[in-house]
Amino acid sequence: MKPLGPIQRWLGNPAIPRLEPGSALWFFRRDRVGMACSGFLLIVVVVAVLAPYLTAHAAEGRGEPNLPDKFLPPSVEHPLGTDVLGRDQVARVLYGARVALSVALVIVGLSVLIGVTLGALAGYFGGWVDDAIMRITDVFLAFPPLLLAIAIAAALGPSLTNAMIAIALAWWPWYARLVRAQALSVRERNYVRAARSIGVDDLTIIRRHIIPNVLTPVFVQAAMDMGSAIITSAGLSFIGLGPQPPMADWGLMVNEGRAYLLGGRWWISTFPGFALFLTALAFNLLGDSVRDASDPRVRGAGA
Amino acid sequence: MTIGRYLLRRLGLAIFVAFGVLAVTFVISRVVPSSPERLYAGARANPETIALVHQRLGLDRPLTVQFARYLASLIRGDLGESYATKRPILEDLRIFLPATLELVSLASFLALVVGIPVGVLSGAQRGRLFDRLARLISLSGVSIPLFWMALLLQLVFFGLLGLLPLGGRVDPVVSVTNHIETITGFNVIDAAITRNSIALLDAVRHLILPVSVLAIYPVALTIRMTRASMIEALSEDYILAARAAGLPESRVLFRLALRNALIPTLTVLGLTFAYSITGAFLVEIVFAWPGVGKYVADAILAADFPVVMAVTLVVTIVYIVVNLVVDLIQAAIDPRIRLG
Repeated sequence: MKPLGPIQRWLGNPAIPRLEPGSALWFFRRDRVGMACSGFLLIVVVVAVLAPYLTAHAAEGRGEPNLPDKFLPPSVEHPLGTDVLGRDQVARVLYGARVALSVALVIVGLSVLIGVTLGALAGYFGGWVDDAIMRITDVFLAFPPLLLAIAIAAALGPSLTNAMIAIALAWWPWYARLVRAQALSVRERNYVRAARSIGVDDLTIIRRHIIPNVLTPVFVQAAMDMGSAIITSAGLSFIGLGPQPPMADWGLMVNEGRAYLLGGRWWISTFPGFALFLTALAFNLLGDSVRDASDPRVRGAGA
Repeated sequence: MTIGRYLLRRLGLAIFVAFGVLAVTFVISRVVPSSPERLYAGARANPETIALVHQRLGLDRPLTVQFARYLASLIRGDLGESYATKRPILEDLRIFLPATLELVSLASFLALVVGIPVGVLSGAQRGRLFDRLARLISLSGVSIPLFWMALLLQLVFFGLLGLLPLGGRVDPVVSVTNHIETITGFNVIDAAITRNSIALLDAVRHLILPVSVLAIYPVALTIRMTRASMIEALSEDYILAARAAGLPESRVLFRLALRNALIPTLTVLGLTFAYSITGAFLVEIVFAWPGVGKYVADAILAADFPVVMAVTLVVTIVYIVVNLVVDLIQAAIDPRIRLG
């Protein structure tokens, strides 16, 4: 291992991924598909952040109508056409990227937060805490995923925030299970036992030792879930339980364009849906690459 | 432990979970909303109706009493009344459930018949052209937004080519001239039994698009999982031994490896059912298929909350049962599960 540089020493030698041959990050760098997807998604992120500056029709992206220009087919001036309210589709798709990415981040982030906390508690304390939390997890896992989200979103009322909360509430059990399994094994490691024997309190142990060491499978699962998060939230939007008009959400836009599809105005639904597909595909490929890089069996013969 | 004890344990767990599901749906339907009365009475209800609903639902009683009343009404079979159709929800479900089951079962069937062989070959030919193509297709399959694909196919096959119908289960003309007698509720079976060939053809034509779209995710998922477990099974030592002994490759693949690779694939069946249910929602909306999904989607638009909760409950219970059956079959096949 390379000697630690001054910055790393100051940080207290945290578990920074290092680029040594054979490490997970090294495998990831060599995975051309994974790298391509990362690049693509990075572009998407940049585009989403810079959306207001990338289009001349920023106001329309945010939702303001422009009725004189309605239903224009794709042209040089409006490469993706305009929708029923005359809004430029390029702007709408760009703004939709912001919604899609932030939604995916919030959903996965929230699920991870709840799941890791409960899973760590269950795995570390064991006993009745473990039983109670696992039974709750079982109950939540008994619901078909989207259905629970639909029910919660319907109860809370259709909105972007409620949709995110609903999906996160349906997803956290997976992470809890994952973390609990990891926590059970980390708990038995020597440094944890040592810490306990000198009287370090439980919460500190959980914070300092358990959680950092259970995060790898969580990270892999989260990477793989980003794609599903986008698709699931788009599904909720399509049904009408997500962001409401005039917000630019890809699922919502597909739904809005549905009525005009067979009347010859195909571009309103097609492009947002294609954006959904590309982004989800990129995230799924990325997730696969992350998983392959961290899976010891896939790392090659003799691993 | 024996299968019998495993069955009892699993059944006990399922019952506990079912009870928990009831509790959660109760909480979602009564406690979570800021104004449950408004959700049950409809958005435009006047204060008198709201007070009436408040009393009817027993919302002034303590939570435990409310839960007990909730359970009692469920045991009676009273799932509530749909605000939109003004009918007991149980009646509505009896009409709509077979239509959805038709879609879901056909999609799962496709997942088995297409997904498993492709997954097997893909795993066996790892890295080669077939595998790469299969991986690309299956990865796209799990990334495609269902509703978007449905709309596109509808546009192409109905709008542009005029080959397949726009939606629905039967052509309105055919439903009058060659009406299908409802025996099982499954149009294909009923038409076949009553030798109603025109209606049979019509029913099949209406099934093609919805089932194809619904099957995309299950097929893709099955391919991916079968491939992964095939790869794992093929790396085992006994495969090497069999090949060294000169066993023909087809036997190696299908008699030895597949058997062991199939075990995780069974779990996939349970998962495909779950995804098919939720996918059916979206597909039924696009193709105006008169099933549970469209029923719920319409209810959501109409703010018909009792329907949403009732369907959630029923579908979840069905899902629990399906998972139970899958788990038991797995335990029967794979001794490691009940002994481990």
